This record gives sequence, structure tokens and C-alpha cells, in this order.
Amino acid sequence: MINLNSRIGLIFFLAIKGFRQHMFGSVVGAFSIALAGGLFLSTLKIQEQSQTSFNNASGGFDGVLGARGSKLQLILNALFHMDSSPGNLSWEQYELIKKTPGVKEAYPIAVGDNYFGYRLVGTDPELFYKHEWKKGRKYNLNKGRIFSATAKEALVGSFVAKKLGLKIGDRFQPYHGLNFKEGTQHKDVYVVVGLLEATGTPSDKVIWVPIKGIQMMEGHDQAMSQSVSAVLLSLRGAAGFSLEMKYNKQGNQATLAWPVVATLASFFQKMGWFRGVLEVISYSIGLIGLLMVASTMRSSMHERKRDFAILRIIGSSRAVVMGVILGHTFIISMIGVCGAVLVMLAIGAVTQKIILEETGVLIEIMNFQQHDIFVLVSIVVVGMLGGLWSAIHVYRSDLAKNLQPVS
Amino acid sequence: MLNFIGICRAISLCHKIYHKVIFLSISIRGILIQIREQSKDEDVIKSTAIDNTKSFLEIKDLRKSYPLGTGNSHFVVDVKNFTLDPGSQLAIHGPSGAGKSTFLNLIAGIIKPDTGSIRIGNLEMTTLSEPERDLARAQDIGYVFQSFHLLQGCSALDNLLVAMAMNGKVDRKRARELLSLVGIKEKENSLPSELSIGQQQRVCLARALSNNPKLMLADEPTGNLDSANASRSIELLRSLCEQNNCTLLVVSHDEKIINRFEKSVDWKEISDVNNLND
Repeated sequence: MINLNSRIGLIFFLAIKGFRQHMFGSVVGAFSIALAGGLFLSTLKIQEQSQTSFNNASGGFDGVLGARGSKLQLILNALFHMDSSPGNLSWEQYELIKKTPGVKEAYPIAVGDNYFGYRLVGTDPELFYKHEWKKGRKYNLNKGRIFSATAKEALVGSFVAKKLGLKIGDRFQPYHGLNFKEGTQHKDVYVVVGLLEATGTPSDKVIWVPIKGIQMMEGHDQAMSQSVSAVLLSLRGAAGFSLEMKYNKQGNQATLAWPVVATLASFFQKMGWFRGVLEVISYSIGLIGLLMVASTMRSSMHERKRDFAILRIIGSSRAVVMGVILGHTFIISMIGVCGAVLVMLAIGAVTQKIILEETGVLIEIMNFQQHDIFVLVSIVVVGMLGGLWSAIHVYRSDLAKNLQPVS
Repeated sequence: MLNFIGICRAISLCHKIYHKVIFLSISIRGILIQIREQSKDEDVIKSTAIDNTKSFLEIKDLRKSYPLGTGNSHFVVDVKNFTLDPGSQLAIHGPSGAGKSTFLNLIAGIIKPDTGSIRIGNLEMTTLSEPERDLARAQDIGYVFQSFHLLQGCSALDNLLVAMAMNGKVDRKRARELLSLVGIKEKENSLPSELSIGQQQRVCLARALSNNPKLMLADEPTGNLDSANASRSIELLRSLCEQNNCTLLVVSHDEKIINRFEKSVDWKEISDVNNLND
């Protein structure tokens, strides 16, 4: 129960009563804050988390060696399993870089087939035994075992297993090409021997098979049996600098995309204009929200003009009346902020699902940071500013004007 | 040419924004000063609360005018001498628009007079600051209105509690007793819109009594009631004021109501007649 003997208690009591009395206007105000704030927050959050999640989704590799071409295309194809392959490298190139001092790990990958649109990626099974896709985290099996390097066996990423309903022992025939097309099915039959646990990285969207499987797949070019699509690299110390010099500046056979994070950062930087557009949209929405709140508060307070006059006549000071208006606005703003968080979570959940389905990258939307709290507090302050104008107007208005004499 | 017009508009807009910002900063500054003064004033008013002295309400040379369109002023209140003893009851009758309500608003400190003095107990209302007058209304003056002026978002009980809160003395038990006294205890949780006119009038009366006022002002208290309810209501008002030793000043244009008072005066005579309680 609110203590009405305290001024703050009285102000909140009257603010709550006012909110209930003018429920429609108050809810519209809170809804506009929720919508504007939620859209604003989710825009900021998604773009920020996308960058972080994409950086973290590089699967623990420092670099990618591939055919001569774009570094970004190489990374997208080899690590994010998107985009087309820029070409192939010879098996010797793979053997050479594997033995280069400073190269901690080197795993060849071969792409070129799919199963209902999900890529088959051929690699060395050692990847699943030794490689840490995140610091201290190796791939874990949900069920089954890792494929043998010489058998037609498949290890299925968690997202694919869920989407296609693949189980241990299931047999399937891959389709040719990176995109699913009817009538392109290979004759080779693969058996699912293992299901991977989710990692929140693009590897969840892949069906992993032995590299020999892709190389020797029926119908593939003979040259493919002696080539790889790319080599995934983990490097020691400053080995990246010497390798970059060797491959990118002096050589003309291959491209080294290193460091992965810097290449991605440069990509996101190039996309800065898009972020700018989104920010302008979200600020515009925020401004419209503010105007709606100010307008709602003004009309709501106009409706309450008589109430304020009554309060004054029974002995309320101007400051209490002003406090009631600000309290009312505060309640609307707080409800609006809670709504904004819900809107942000809803938009985030939908976006998370879309990005996960498209890229396999799981963006984090629940981790609130200090600047998110700052944005939420700012929304409350901005919402209250919307009511401040009405509060000052009521504060300055003459009591007698609102009390028409009856005789 | 178009550019020139655009520049002119931009300058005009900047000028308007500048003035709005100045206005806002002055407003906020003024409010902060007033809030500071108010907290000082409240300390003062507690030591100058109304006492039931011999001549309880004393009004001298009170004048209030409103400007006319022609540039002249129209005096709606012009009272040379007006006194009431503690606990007395007086009715003022007169036609609508004569200035009776303005007279009550002047006494309650809702509006300030052009000249003159209004003394209630040992409080000189005309020299009090606005926050002091607010507090005086909360502590010592009850006001019953023709249109009741109840807070529409608050229940009957809440209307009384809010009035008590203005005086810093919220007492739920007493609020319920007052509602019981005016005969609507069972309606304590009803909103004004859920009450009949008569019931709203009773809530208004209970609210006016909630802070044990020493002066009760009633502006056409029965104006919205039918004849039977009006009679009951005025008797209730009179008896409650009598029980609480509260001075009652009623203004009405209804002859039937006026006739129920032992002492009454016509609004036209109020300017010239002194010592109405005699």
C-alpha cells in the first residue's frame, strides 16, 4: 500500500490513478515508446551482435588458403559455407603449407555437392579430433562417431540433422553442385555415422564427409581427385605475415585470407552505409515515438486539467501537480521501456532464426550490456521530456482559469 | 529567390526555437525557485495555523475586478466590512453571475484580490504566498462545490484520502467514518461516475470535512440536486458543521435553501452591511 502521507507516495498514487483513468491514451503512449525503443534497440543490437557473432563464427581458424581471388569470397566459401568457390588448389599446395613452419593446423576442404541444399564438405577427420572451434572447445558428438577417412560416411551438423531429420544409420545420395537441383543426384550412397552437437557456427549447416569422398565422387572431374577447394589454417605467432608475403605479394598461385577477423571487419566496414541507413531509420522511429509521446501526454494532461484544478483547490501545491504529471509520464515510459525490451527480444528472435537458417551463425540477443542499459534509461528520460512540456504548462497555468465560477 | 525565401524561413525557425529554449529554461528556473520557496513556506505555515479567535472571519475593503473589453474594469466583488464569529452559519443569496463564487474563491485564496484584507483566524490570506495559501486550504478550509469537483479516477474513499494527504494526515478509519456519517459507506470503492448525483454530493461533503476545517465554504451546494435531496443535503451540511464547530458560509440563488438558515444576506447588501453575525 502506498504511503499517502509522503509527497512521493501521493504523487505516485495520483499518477497511477491517472494512468488507469486515461488507460487508452496511456497505453497508446507506452506502446509508441515500446515500438520506437524496441526498433531502435534491436537495430543497434542486431548489427552489433551480427559482427561479433560472425567474428566468433570463424571456427577457430586464423586464415584460409585458396585459389587466387577475393579474400572475402574465400572466407565466405570455406568458413561460412556460403558463396561459390573461387577455384581449386592442388593437393601439393596443401601438403606444402601443412609442412610450413609456423602452421599449427592445416585442414583441406573440398566442396561441390549438396544434399537438399545443405553442403557436403569433405575434410580430414582429424579436424574433429584435434581442432578447437572456439578456445578450449572441440567438436562434440551428440550421437555416433566421426567418419572414417576412407569410407562413404557422413557426420551431420546439428542444424541439418534437425532440418532434414537425419539419424544414425540413414543413407543418402548427394546431389551435384552447391545448390539443390532435381535430377543431379550422384550414385554414391553415404551413411550417417555421427551427429554433431550445436556450435552456433556455420559448421552446424554442413554435412561433413571424408575429403576423398568429394574428390572421388562419381561424375566429378578427374582433376578434382587431386585438388582441394581451400585449406583452413591455424597459425603460430607471426607466421601469418611471412605467409601473406609469400602467397599474396610474391606468389600468384594462391590467396591467403589472413587474418580472418580483419577481413570480416573490413567487410562490415564496407557495409557501414547500410548500418548508417538503419541508424537513420531507427532515430527517425525514435523521434516519431517521442512526438507521439509528447502529443499523447499533452492531450492526456489536457483531459486531466480539471483534475489538476481540483487537486489545487483541495490544497495541493503546483509542485505536487507537476510531480503527478511527471509520475504519470514516468509510468508510461517505464511500461514503454519494458515493452521496448520485449519488442527487441521478439525482433531479435525472428532475426536470429533467419540469420541462423541463412548462415548457420547464431547471434546472441539476450546479453544486455552497459550501453543497452544506457539506451533504456535514455528512453525513460526522453519519454519524460515528452511530459515535461505539459507539466510546465500546468505548473504555470492559473488555477482560477480552470475553475469556472458558477454564479 | 527561392533560396532567399528558404534562408528567411530557416532564420525564422531558428529564432522561434531560440525563444522556446529561453522560455523552457526560464520556466524550469522559476519552478525550481518556487519549489525551494515552498519548502521554506511550509515550515512557516505550520506555526501560523488558524485559531478560533473571537472574530473568526474578517474581511475589509475587499475588491476584485475583471477587465472589460472597453478598457474599463468591472468590480465583481466590493465588500467593505464582513465578519463572522467562530461556528456561525450564514447564507448569501443572489442571482447567478453576481460574483458570489468569486467572493468564496477570494476567501479560499484561490484568486488574489485587487485590494483589501481577508483574515481567517490569525491568518492574513492576502499576504500569504501561494504555497502558504495552498496549505491553508488543505488544513483549515473545506470547500463544497455545485459540480462537486471529485477526482474522477479515484474512488469515494480515495477522494477523501487524497484530501487528507494534502494535510499530511491520512487516516483511513476517519475517512470511512465520514463516509458512514454521510450515509454512503457501502459505496466507498465506487468511482464518482458510478454514484448518483446525491451520492457524489455526499462524497464532496465528506471530503470537505476530512481535514476538520474551521471554515466551510459552499458554492451552490445543492444546485444539482432535486428539492428533497437538496433539503436533506443542506441539513446534513449544517449539522456536520455544527458538530465540528466549523464556520459555514453558503452562497446560493435558491430561496428555499436560504430560508433554512437563521442568518442570511442578499449579495447586493453585502457590500454595505457590516457585522452580519450581529
